[in-house]
Amino acid sequence: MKLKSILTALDSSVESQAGLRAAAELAGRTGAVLKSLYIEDENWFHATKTSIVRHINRHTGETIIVDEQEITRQSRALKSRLADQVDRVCNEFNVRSIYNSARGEIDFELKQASEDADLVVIGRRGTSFHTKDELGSTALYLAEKCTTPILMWSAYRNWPSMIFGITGDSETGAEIEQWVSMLSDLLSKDARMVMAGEWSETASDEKTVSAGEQILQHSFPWQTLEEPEDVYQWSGRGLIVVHRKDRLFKTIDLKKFMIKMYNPILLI
Amino acid sequence: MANDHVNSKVETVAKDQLFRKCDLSSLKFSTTDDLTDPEESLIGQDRALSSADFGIQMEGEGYNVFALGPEETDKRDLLERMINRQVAEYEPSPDWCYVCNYADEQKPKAIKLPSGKAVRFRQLMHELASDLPNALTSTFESEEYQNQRQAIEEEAKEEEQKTFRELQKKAEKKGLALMSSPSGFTIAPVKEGKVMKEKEVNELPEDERNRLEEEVMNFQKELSEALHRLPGKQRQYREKRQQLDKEVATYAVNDLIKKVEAEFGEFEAVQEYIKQTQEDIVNHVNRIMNPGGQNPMQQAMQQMGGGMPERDTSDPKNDPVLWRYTVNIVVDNSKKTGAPVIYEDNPTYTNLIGRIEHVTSQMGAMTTDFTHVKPGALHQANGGYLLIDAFRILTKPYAWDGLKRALQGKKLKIESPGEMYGLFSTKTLEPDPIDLDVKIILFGDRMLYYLLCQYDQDFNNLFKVEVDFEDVIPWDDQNQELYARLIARMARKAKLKPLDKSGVERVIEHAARLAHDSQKVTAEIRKIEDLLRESDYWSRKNGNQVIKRPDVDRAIQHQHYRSGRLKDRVQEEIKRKNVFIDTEGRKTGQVNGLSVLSIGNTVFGRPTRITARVQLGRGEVSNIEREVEMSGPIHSKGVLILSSFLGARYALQTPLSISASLVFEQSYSGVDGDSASSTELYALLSAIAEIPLKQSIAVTGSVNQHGTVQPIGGVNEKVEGFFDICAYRGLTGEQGVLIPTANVKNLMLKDELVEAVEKGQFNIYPVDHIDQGMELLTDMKMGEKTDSGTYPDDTINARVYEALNRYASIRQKFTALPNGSSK
Repeated sequence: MKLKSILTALDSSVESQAGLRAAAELAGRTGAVLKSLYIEDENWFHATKTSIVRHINRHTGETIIVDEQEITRQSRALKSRLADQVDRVCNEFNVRSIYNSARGEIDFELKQASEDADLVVIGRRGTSFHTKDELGSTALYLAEKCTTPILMWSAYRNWPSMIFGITGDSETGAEIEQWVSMLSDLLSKDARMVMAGEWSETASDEKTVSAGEQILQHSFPWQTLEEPEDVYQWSGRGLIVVHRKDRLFKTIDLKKFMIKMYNPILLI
Repeated sequence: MANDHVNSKVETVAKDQLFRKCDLSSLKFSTTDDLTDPEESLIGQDRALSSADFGIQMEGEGYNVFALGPEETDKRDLLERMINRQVAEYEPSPDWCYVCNYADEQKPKAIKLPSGKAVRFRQLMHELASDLPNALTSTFESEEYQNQRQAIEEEAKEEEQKTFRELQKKAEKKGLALMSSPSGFTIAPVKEGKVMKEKEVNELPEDERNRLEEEVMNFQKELSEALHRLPGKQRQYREKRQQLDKEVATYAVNDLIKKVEAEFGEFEAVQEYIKQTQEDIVNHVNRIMNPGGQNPMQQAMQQMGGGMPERDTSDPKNDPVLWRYTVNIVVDNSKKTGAPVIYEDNPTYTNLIGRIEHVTSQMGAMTTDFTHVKPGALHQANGGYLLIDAFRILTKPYAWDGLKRALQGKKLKIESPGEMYGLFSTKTLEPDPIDLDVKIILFGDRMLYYLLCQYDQDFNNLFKVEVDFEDVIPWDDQNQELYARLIARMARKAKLKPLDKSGVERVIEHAARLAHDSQKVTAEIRKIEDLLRESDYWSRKNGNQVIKRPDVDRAIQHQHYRSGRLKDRVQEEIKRKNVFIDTEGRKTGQVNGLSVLSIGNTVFGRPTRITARVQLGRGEVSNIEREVEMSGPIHSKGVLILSSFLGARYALQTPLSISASLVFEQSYSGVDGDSASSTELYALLSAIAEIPLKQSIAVTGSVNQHGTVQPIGGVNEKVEGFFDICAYRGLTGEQGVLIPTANVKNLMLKDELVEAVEKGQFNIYPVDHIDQGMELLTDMKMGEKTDSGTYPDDTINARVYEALNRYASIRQKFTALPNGSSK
């Protein structure tokens, strides 16, 4: 398994900056190219042309006048500032970098860009609020609409000391273990596999067969859970690796899982 | 009135009075290797030793010592050894160090510790500082901290987002969207998840459009209120985070702090410092872990991403943050026993008081901190003794004032001279002043001491102990033996060849010559050391195993030769008759005086022709040198004495009616001293009486109003100066020098002169009175005053008396009024 390119989405939020650093560090350790994408939300520009729209100063709460020219100017300034940050972080981790911008619908543009990447890193808790009100909506959108692995990075955290692979079946379990193994090696962290749910009692033998020799070499400690809901005991602990198509998410809701587990989550 | 001296015959000085031979036959030794060291390096300095002993031990304000005397007496060596003997009994002085004053970095704190403790304190603080980033990082990276922190962040975020989520939900229900854009927040009507375009808005029924417009307005108010509430809430969570950070940091550094506390907690100042250090660490956790992250965003990034740059904390002093927790030792007495004894050979202001060094930052600005506080000699000597050369400190700008200020205030405050004098107002460090308890030992020459006493009002209060070293010491049997042992010690110390008895004797004889006295020897032992070294050189050159008399002789001769160029040139001018000095025949009103020239290391005698002329006048004796401001006050005084002598002896009944002038012929530089006053009197009497004087005899000696000849200085050089000229022209047996009898004891003449006197080729006449000198110079009797107030015929006095009476009569005649009376 080799990462050739890592995509991260940028905006002015602290979460996005944290995601950038995490992505850059991973790129630095794997030799992947870091692709940074800044998306100008089409809605910003629509809003400038609508008479009944109000623009509010973020700090004072006062009404301000924003026309298309102004939003273009502000967006260009933000884009330039983010480019500087990307340069700085990439220099720090000695990473090759490509910085792009796009204009359109955020989720869509990000999905399009993710198709050329081996991994997408986004800051958890969303970039900001936009038309959708749910927390982590972009991540959820990507989880549902694209197939590229997504690392949802939590701000204010360092790399956790442990990596947990959580699985409910053997096929996805093997893929999860590969990622766990790679991250464990890259980041020099301890790792553990967790078999969740009733299925796990019979799955351990199957896992060994499907995982293959390469996986066996790592032979992480395995742990089984009686109930799938028990996975929440790892909330806030370690980096969690899960699979979109895992049987686990037939028992528990993926969206609920992502909201409740505020750890960094790698969704493959 | 009978004068004994008139009838006494002047005999030449006996051979054994011309040069005192040193005789060490009673001292049993073959070479100086057989002689033991004397107890002290100086002999015959009882007063100085006793004073020094008192000064070294006496406690109390202002009992500092000034050792005065010639430079060559080696005062410093003696005092240093005396002090070292004394301080061995004292407790070692405390250590001092400077640490960061966290409350005000411009004012570093001074901490006093028992001797030898500062190094350990620095080591512990160094370890603490080195371990600090790791200890904090590992704690702050721990899962427990991360979770607690995350919980607070999530709580804060949740609350913030909850507010906006609710606003968003409200907005959604009203057909609006709340968006964040680079310009701020935007409230816009939406349709199917997208912001409505103007066309779509316009297509809305008017009621609906008005409703939306009103909703937007109302929503804007709600949003504004929510935004106003945000900072307060953010502050609450920030405080929560800070509290958590403080608790975690306190826990993280606890072990490190306790380690220091365990060893140094007993010292109040350290305890206080440790407490403040802990508080400072807790308050600067982020800076300690991320020293480069000045930008809040960078700091956040570093915190989040764990991408801290490589950092070497093994030398905390050079770390941009950890330097605050290092210790700058300014006084370390760990390797000393007893109180410190420091000699500062370059007593500049900063070398004494200390300095604050500055370093240039990357931006070119000059910066400094407590680690750049450098101690001065006073710091090093605190609790002990500091030896300083007085001349050197007085010639270093601001150093003397700085020293006095420290002694008066008993505090050692490091500040630049510019600050001390209020010249600069540039902000710099103000380290805590350190208590000062030091005894200063100044040493210098006498003139300097007396000038300081005279002109520096603080001096006498600050330097109450005067240690006065003798220039010369008596040459008696006891000191002779000690001197021989001192020579032996010096030879051993300088790793020279030993001296045999003859060599030692010659050195002692030269010591007497240096003392200008056959009854004393010089105390300027450095000159003797130099002579020994040079004798050793010539001895080696001659292939001798020991230094013998000829080697010492050679060394002395070569010293004279090396510095003798000027003397040779002066004598050459006389020999070539460019400078007129007669050594035979007789001349009226003319006599050979003797003066001494002292330039650099050269001291030699030079004959000078002194002449007198007399004319009718009102009793003035004018000194031509004085008229042209070429004579000093002492010389002028001597000349005035002559008038007094003449008046008292010859003009008791008639006014002194001459005007005499005296001059040093061919003298083109200044003249001072009264050693030529007898010479001038001889010339004057000769001129008045018109009696020629022998030119084969040169004269020296001062005279008082009664005609008594008084001693003068430099008698050896003066006699030798005239002898050299006579020897060059051929010794006749008539030639000689008149010297004051009181100077006979000063004679330590060179061998060839002594030999010439022995052979009757040259004479040295000791005279007590001017009358004896006149008789020798004229071969006439002086003549004793008779009861009638006159003098016998054909005597000098009679001739002078008659001449003066003649001048008086002429004057009377010229000043008589037409009616016969006089003015």
